[in-house]
Amino acid sequence: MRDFIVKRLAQMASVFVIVSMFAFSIIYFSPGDPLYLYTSPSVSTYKMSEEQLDDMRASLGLRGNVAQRYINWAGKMLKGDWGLSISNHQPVKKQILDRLPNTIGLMGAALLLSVLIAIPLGLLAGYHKNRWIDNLISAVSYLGISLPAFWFGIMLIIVFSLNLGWLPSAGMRTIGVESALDVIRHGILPVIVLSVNNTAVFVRYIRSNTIEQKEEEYVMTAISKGVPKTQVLLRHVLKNCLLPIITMVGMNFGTLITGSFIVESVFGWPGLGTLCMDAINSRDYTMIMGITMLTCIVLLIGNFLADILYGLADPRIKQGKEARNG
Amino acid sequence: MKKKLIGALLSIAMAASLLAGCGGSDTGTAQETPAQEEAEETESAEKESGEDTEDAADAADSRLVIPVSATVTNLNPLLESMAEGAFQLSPFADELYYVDQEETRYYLAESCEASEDGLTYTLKLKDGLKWHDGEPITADDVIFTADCNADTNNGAGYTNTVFVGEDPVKYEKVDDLTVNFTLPKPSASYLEVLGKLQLIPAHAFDGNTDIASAEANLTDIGSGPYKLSAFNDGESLVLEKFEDYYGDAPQIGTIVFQVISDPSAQEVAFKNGEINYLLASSDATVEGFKDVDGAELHQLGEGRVKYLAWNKFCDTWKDRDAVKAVFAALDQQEIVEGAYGASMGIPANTIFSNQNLFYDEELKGYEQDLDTAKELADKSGLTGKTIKLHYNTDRSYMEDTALLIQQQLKAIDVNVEIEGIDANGFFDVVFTDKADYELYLNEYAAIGDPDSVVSGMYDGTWGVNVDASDEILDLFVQGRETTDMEKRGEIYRELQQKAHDEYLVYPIAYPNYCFITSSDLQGTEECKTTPVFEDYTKLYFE
Repeated sequence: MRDFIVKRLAQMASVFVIVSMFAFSIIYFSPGDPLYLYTSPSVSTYKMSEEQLDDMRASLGLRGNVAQRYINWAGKMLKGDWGLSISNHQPVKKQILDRLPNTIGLMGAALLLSVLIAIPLGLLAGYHKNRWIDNLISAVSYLGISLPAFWFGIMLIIVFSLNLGWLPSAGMRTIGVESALDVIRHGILPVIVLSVNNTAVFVRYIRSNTIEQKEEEYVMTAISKGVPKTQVLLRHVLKNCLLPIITMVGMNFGTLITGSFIVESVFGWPGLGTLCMDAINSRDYTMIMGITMLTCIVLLIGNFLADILYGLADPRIKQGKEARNG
Repeated sequence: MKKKLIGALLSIAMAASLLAGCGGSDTGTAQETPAQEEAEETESAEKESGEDTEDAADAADSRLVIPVSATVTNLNPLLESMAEGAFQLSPFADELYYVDQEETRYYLAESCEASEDGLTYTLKLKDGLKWHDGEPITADDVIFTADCNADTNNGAGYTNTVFVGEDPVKYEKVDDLTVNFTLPKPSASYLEVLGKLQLIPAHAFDGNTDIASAEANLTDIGSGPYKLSAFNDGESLVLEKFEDYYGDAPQIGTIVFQVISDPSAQEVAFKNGEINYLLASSDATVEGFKDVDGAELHQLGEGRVKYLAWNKFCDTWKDRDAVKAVFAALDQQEIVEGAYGASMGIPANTIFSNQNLFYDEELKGYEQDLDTAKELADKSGLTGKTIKLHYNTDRSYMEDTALLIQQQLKAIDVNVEIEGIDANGFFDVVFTDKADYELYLNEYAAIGDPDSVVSGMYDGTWGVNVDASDEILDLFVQGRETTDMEKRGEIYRELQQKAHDEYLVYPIAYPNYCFITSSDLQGTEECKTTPVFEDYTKLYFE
């Protein structure tokens, strides 16, 4: 197990470096000068001289070719210095960490809701394959996969906020109100929108796995012995369906960080998604790199944890790995 | 029992997940000030003393909520000079004064007088001004603000107050309230430029002009009628009225700039009564709110010029008849109606906007004449060619305008290849001496004195590929160096005519700034300039 963990950590480190180089190069070679933020006629009618521009480039770490700038950025990153935002000169790390909890809270709740809804629906659909309940759940799942988030978000706002007046339409809290209930009320609609797509995808995976498991001899035996359906599903089938669920949740760990650009925008949620969008629009490379690398780390950790949990959920895998590792 | 327990635990976990992230703390630098508590106590005392005071308390409780696409990134007006930042910091930080077409309205400044030779401007502050922290606003703050602008590494937005062209302006303190600005050469627009300056307090920055990443940028460094109540980065900026404001007392208790970036969500929030202001992003929005009860529509000239320019470095335009052919082929009315609709813009007739000083409304714009266009296109070899048009994808109406131009130029057998570029990359591609494209759609701010962005677009400062003749360039210089307003008027009228005669660019539209307010919000008629609102003390709820 130790060897496995060491090997995976080494792989993670190399993926991290490759992603950082790739992301840095994309930003560097994309058209547009970050200094536009300061030199646009919308900012000032004064046009800076080449010398002044060069000084500014130096002060913002924008001098040099792509390799020099990458080494400079990576060197600071290794020391824990994420740099200053090009657009507002504030520390990148602080801004990201300020917004991070908002996104994790929203996406965590959405992911949890997805899993909670998807497990019973997927099991039910798989167990009753091709019956009316399976068809209904499948149809709703396809609808969930196809719904555009921005449209669904606006529809929910119109129904629950404008027409029924039950929930607020935007923001994370009511100005001047500091209560947990208020945050939950604001979070309900975005969480629903974010969970719909994930739920639909999870349902499809669990359904197909349930169908596979149902054909297995141990399930047939349990059914023939007269074990109640619920007991078969929850005690036997669900345990064996955990693997794809773990995979999916592990893969979705990355979205805990990036959030949903569209949903955050529609609901005015102050998360990392909107921060990243603003950074991309202003070519704020330090901020883009900060968010990208954080997403990368969380995604890698998510997959790593999924691998570990695989072993815990299914001892055969753990044993197999140990056997291969000698 | 076990199932119920699991269900309850999972529900708690979900709510906890939401709260763990979001409920525990305010993001950014949210802060409730002791002054707010004090104001609340005062309000409750007033409520007890009769009906009149009840009205006052209601006003103090009133809240104006304005949606924005993003909060400002800091509270320093020097670093937030672009439209969205200026919009949010307008109630927070006052300008020195505002030069309008008909009058000058003074805010922090008592006066600003120019010497006869137009080289020295004497700025006098009002007496008794206070920063939001209670410290006096003095000439030292003016000097400090000017120093911060002079340090170009700050990227401050008022560098044009300390440089004329490339030459620095000298400034010196005369007394506690007076500062002299001495220009290296005459610049008639300097009076207007200086007026827009918003000051920052020297004491808050400990006199350090390296302000770009100063922590003070996130604190209450304002001078306007509203002071900071809470700043939640990415969520909201909450301002409350400043009791020691030197001008008329603000009539609304709190101003909230709340982030709702999606225009559709903004519309729903407005209909829901959650916000009191809505910036119309399209003609459809304006039409949708025209007859809605409880909504009032306002329309102002935005003070911008949207135009089509041709790239002088491109061989296609070696024969000026090719340019004339394009201009004669375009139907401006159809473009404006098609792209802007009935409410969002009007046809432009000159390179100045209808909000510029010396705008010549008598000048006739270009008219469509397809026969002449075809003839000129044939003569110049333009017929049958494919030309490339760039537009800025982040600007409103540009895409529709490009498509309409493409359609109209088909009538003279010219094929237009359209390529949109986002704002950051657009100027890197367009404002160069490259010859690999023929046309571009652009816009510029054109409000007040034309010796600002307007001249920069044609004299080579920004629009390096516009073919302005020496005569036109000379007229820009004359306009800058002449102090007599009547003479300036003549110069600029001649300049507009020359630009038209030389087919400098094709002015397309003057966009409108349309916004909708809840009908209980009064005082909006006082608002004549953009971005709104110049003076928040005029606003109140009925």
